[in-house]
Amino acid sequence: MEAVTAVLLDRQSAGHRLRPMVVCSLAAHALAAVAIVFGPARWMPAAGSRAPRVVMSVSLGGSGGPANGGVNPLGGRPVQQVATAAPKRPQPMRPPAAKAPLMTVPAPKTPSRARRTPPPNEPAFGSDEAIGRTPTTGPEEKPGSSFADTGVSGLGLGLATGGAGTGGAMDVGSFCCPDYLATMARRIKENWNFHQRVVATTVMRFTILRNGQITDIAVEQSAGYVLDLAAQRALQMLRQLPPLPAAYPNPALTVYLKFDYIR
Amino acid sequence: MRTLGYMALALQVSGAVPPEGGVGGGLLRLVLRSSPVAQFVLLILALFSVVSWGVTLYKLWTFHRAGRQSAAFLDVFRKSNRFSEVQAVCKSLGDSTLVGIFQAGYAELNTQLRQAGGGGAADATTAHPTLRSVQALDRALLRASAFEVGKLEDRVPFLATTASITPFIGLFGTVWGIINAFDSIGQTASTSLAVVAPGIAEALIATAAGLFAAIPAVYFYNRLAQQVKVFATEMDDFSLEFLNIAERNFS
Repeated sequence: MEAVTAVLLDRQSAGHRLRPMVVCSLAAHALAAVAIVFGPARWMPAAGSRAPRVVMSVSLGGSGGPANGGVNPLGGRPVQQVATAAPKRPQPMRPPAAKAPLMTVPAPKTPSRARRTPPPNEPAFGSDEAIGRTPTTGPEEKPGSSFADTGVSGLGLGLATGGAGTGGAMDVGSFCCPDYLATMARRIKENWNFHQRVVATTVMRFTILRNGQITDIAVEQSAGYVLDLAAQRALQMLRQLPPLPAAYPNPALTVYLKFDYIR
Repeated sequence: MRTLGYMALALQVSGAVPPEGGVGGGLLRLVLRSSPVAQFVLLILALFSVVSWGVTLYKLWTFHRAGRQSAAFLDVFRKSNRFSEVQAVCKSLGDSTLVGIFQAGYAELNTQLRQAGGGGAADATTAHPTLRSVQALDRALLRASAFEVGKLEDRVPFLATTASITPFIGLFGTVWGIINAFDSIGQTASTSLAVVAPGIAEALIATAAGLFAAIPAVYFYNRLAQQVKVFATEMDDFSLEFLNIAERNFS
């Protein structure tokens, strides 16, 4: 065998290290798979699908009414009325058609030769009074200023839909129990020291369990430590609300509560 | 009248509290629930990914060693006066491509000198032996060079295969899944998102897996091909240098 060929064959048989590398890669893949499956939810935005945030905001104290923020006063919520059907116009009674006598002598048939005269070609004019006058249109409709009593009692707070930038707006009417919200807001406000000599907004998040206990208090949007603390204290001192109303179907209610400090 | 505190609240009506445990389990659940075809596609893609990463690591490691040992070998080669000295070093630098070329050239040189001088060693200085054919030496170096390039390129095409095939395999899985999704739409006769979405989500996993396998393969294929080219240039350079030295000393 030629010397060069021998050298090349010798080098050909130099050991392949491919297999350990494949094993290495297999281990890395397994590790990655485990990390994806058991890793924190933050890594997988698709997996921890959150319940859609249905947000509505309730304002207390009268400011921020419809004039300056699109908040509908609850008492004056537009109530859709059922359109009443137009009353039927009474129809005049017609006398029954006269009956022909039962037995008659058949009259001899006379072929009617009389032809109808063709209509005249001249245009038909109305009566003299109708010519040259504007037609009447009936009674005019104007928006009235009278207020319909809808029977909805005001709660002293306004409800508005939308806001918070998270998308879905919730129709106020579809949340079962505005009374409960009013109670909650009042109870929290009793504990809340809102005189802080600054204008700021803290948003707190908490969850009301079915038995009315407040848990998971967290600052959602901070306005500085002191103000956050005041809001947090209001919730912590309260700690217990009336149990959730039976009409509310879910096991817990998460509330985003906006504390607006006003000077 | 004193200013009243103003408080606004927003409610999140949480339909169901999202489960805290089993976080990425959504993905796992999706995979486990998918059809056997989709699982088979995913398995193939996983195999491709594993093997292509293995090849990548293997080639990177090999090239790294080859580059380092080539540098060391060149150092020895340029400092030393005798080919026999260099040949002695070759054993420890076996991963270098230049070593292969040198050994081939040295073997050819030895054969020629032995035939010419009757068993004289290739050490130039002893008896002024002469080369019979420079072309034969050149051919030996070319052979070795081609052999080494072949060795370097070994298994690199697998990366190109992975890069071009896996997106299509993933696409196949996705199309299959979407066929099933539309089938289920037809069966339930409702186009609600709840019917369509899971099928499409599990179908799209296949495409994601295909891209996951393909993208690194493309990158490393290009990188390794470039490195092979660099090695080939280096080997050409070295064989010319070797040829020059041999011609100068043995003719």
